[in-house]
Formats: sequence, structure tokens, C-alpha cells
Amino acid sequence: MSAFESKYLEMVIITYHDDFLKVAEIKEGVGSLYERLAAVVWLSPDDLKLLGVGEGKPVELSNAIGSIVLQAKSNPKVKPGTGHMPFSLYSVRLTSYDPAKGKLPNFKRIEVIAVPTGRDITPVSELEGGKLA
Amino acid sequence: MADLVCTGCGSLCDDIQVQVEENRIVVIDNACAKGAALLYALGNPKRRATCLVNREEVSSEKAIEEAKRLLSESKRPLIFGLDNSTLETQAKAISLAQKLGAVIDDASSFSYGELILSLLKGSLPGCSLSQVKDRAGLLMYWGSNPLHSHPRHLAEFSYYSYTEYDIAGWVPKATLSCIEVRDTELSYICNPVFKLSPGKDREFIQDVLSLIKGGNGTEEAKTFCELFKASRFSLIFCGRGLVYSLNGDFGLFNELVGKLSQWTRSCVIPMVDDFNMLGFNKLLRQKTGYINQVSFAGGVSHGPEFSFLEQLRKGLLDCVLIVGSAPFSTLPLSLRRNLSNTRVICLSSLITPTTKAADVVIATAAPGLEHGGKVVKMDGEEVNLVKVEESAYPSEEDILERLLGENR
Repeated sequence: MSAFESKYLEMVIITYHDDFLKVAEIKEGVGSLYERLAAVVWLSPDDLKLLGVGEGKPVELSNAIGSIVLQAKSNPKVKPGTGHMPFSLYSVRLTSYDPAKGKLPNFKRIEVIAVPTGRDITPVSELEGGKLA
Repeated sequence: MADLVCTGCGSLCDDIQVQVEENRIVVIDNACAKGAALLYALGNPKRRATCLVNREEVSSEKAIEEAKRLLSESKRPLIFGLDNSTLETQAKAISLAQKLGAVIDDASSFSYGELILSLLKGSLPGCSLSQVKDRAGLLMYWGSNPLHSHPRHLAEFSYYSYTEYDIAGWVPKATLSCIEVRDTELSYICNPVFKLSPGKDREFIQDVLSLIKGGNGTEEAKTFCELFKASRFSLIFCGRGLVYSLNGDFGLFNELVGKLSQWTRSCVIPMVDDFNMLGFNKLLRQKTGYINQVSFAGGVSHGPEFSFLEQLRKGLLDCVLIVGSAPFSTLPLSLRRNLSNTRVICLSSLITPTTKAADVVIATAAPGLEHGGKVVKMDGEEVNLVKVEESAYPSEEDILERLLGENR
């Protein structure tokens, strides 16, 4: 385990509709502006401190479905133990669908483990379309 | 200036004005950022979809021919999307599904479906948005932040649309409230705000029902009941937050609205994002008795096993025709993998992750700008889209008619 991975937090990610992201997607397609607006997770200042992650630094969110690296941002309105991120190609990378557990995919309330990381933000080109591995 | 109905979201704002010069929009009035972005993108050749077969650019004719071939060879086809298409296109798609013995489904089957069905059956009371203005005393947004999902909703149809609104000195005529799991732009202007823990909407409804039935309720449940008692006409605008918190099961919510209706006229309007989801659900129900998840293989069958998600999860499909939708942007990863292993035909006016992944892309004219047609708004009212510009692309309806003709 690297020094980055020695700190981690279990948290619930709440996704929301972001008009700025939608506008970017419509106007410019899935590109650099989309990535800048979508690859973000808002965390409580306490959680950022516990993780040892600075404002704007990368944090990895992962669960049994997948893993992504996002830019961590501080927001005192966010409750510790939760994170807020816009619904996007990034959030669906962590979304599960198991009809034995629920009728609908788990788009809105996603359980993850957050870990500080030295890796770069996941490029959106890795997440969109194409034949997936 | 020409009038235009905006298809940027489910609000279908009908006061948009555009100035067209040489078949190109040069001025847009009244549209929100999302609506303006859509018109801008449709006028930008770099954002327009092109006809592709196996990612090679081809003529429209060749793309349609390839789509015909894939559909005629398919043993287990499915038609998906249509929530951003006109009623005329939807009717053609249903006919095509019938002819092919295909499954047909839309995004309501994993979002607003059950809520819309309750409204269509009349087991939940609905009303038109035109009735809301100046009449409703309580406007409750539940799991919805319209300032992002439907940017002009408050201004055009609810809180700020009331006649007495005056920038110089306005006294609110209605109470604006919301039920949310986080602070939003909406919650800052609401009073009161019911802030729930994520996924606790069901518990909140149970608390309120318990209080109404004579039991003890939380302070929040009491405040909620007082709001409805104080209003003669109340609206609940239901968003995705509520849909996913209840996991699509609206039984308890329907019971709550029934109980609230003892005190006040309480109506429900779904905050659908796609501009004609209600139209698809209504039309399919007229033709089959079901709003979604229908199979035409050997007659008409319906059930969750015919949902797009289940068909994908079980790997049952060999060809998917996607019309005006972008499931590669929204589906969970496991389902996207299965979709990428299926033959995909996509009808789209803009480039999306789905057009990038599809085997066949047929570029289309944009409804509401380059061709007209009928659509159904979130409140169930029928709206006419008008054509403002000529298009080099065929409409979705024309393409489906050609696919239908060849597959009869």
C-alpha cells in the first residue's frame, strides 16, 4: 500500500443535475470543458482533512463497479461521509444495477471508498462510447 | 422574428423567438442557457451527427440500407429512446416494432414510468401548468432542482409566473417549498425546506402518513401537513431525487397524495427531462395498454423482463435501434459493455457518445427546429412544434417510414 492509500474514507456520493455541465455537453460535446465540470467531487472540509487531500487535488473513488480519479473540492455545506458530484459519464462509471437489490439503477446514492491519489484525473476519453473492455 | 418551442428540456417553453437569416439562426430571445446551447449546437456543423457505417462516413442512403440489413437479419431486435421525438415519429417506431416483432422501451422504464402510469390511469391527480399560475397556494418541488434541470420552470410556470410578480416590489402569492437532500439554488429561496438524509424519502412519507392517521409525527411531518392544510390548491413537482429514493415504487407516495387531497386539492406534475416522454407513454398505452417494456414477438407482451435494462443485462439482444437518445452517456458500465457488444443503429441530430459507439449512425433533422410535429408536455398538454429552418437531413419519421416500408 502506498502512502496515498494509507488514508481512506467510506462515503456515499450523491449525484445531481448540473445545468452548466449539460450546456457544455450540448454545445461542445464530451470534451475538455465537459471533463473540467464533470470530474469533480465536493467533499466536506473535515473529510478532505481526514484524507489529507488539498483543495483541487486528485482523489480516487472506487467501488465494486469501477474506479475514477476526480478533482476534490471543499464545500462546508456537504455533510461529512457524503460527497456531491454531477451526474455524468464519471458517476455512471460507479453506478450499479442489480434488479435483485432494486428496480432502478443506483444513479443517485453511490457507496464508494475515497482514497487520496497521485494519479491524474481520469480523462473523459476513457469513459465515453466505443467498444468497452 | 419567428416563434419557436424549445426542446431543450421537458418545460417546452413556447415563447422563444429566433431571427433566421440565410437558413441560420442569428438571434435567440428568451431561451435559457440550455435551450440556447441546443440551438447553437444544431447550427454548428462540428456538432452535427454524420451518417456512419462502422465509423466510416457514408451517404444517408447507404446508412439507411445498412440499418435495414441489420434489422432484417436481427432475431432479437429492440427499439429504444423516442422520448425526444415527436408523436408522429413515436407512432412510426411502434409500427416498426410491431412489424419486426421487436421489443420497444424508453427511459421511463428506469425513471418516471410508474409515476406517469399513475397519472395516466388517474390514480394520481394531475393538472395543467396553466392552472398552476395564480391559483396554487403551495408549490412543492420534491427531489428536483428546476434551476438546473428546467431553468425557466419557476419563471414560466410556477413561483415567478404569478401575475402579481413585479421586480419593483413583489409579495409572494404562493408558498415555495422543497424536499431535498442537499443545499441547492432552489432551497435558498424556499421556506420551509425539508432536508432529508439521502434515500430517506420513504421514511418521511411514512412519518407524515402516521401523523395523518392519528399517530405521532416528527416536527417536520407536522410542518409538512400544516403547509398543505393552509393551501387550497397544492402542487407537488416530482423530480428524479424522489424517483430514485423510492426506487420507482410510488405506492406509498400515491397514498400520501390521496390523504393530502382530503384537506386541499393536491396535484402532481413529473419533472421529466426529456421533452416527449409523456407522449411516448401515452401513445404506447393507447396502442398496447402499456406505457413501456412491450414486446411484439408473438402478439403484445409486457413486463420488466422486456425493459431495455433487463434485455441488456441478460444479453438477449442482437440489434438495438436507438432513436433520439444517448444511453452510452447514462447507462451503468456493465450494461454499456453489453450494449457495445450488440449491433447498434442510432438516429441522432448531434454527435454523442452513443453515435461514437454505434455501428450505424443516421443523421437526422432536429425536431422543433428543422421539422414540426406534436409532443406532450410534462403536464399532459399537447404542444405543436414548428419548423423554423430547412434541413439537409431527413426527419426521424421519414427514416423510420423507410425502414418500415422495407421491413413490412
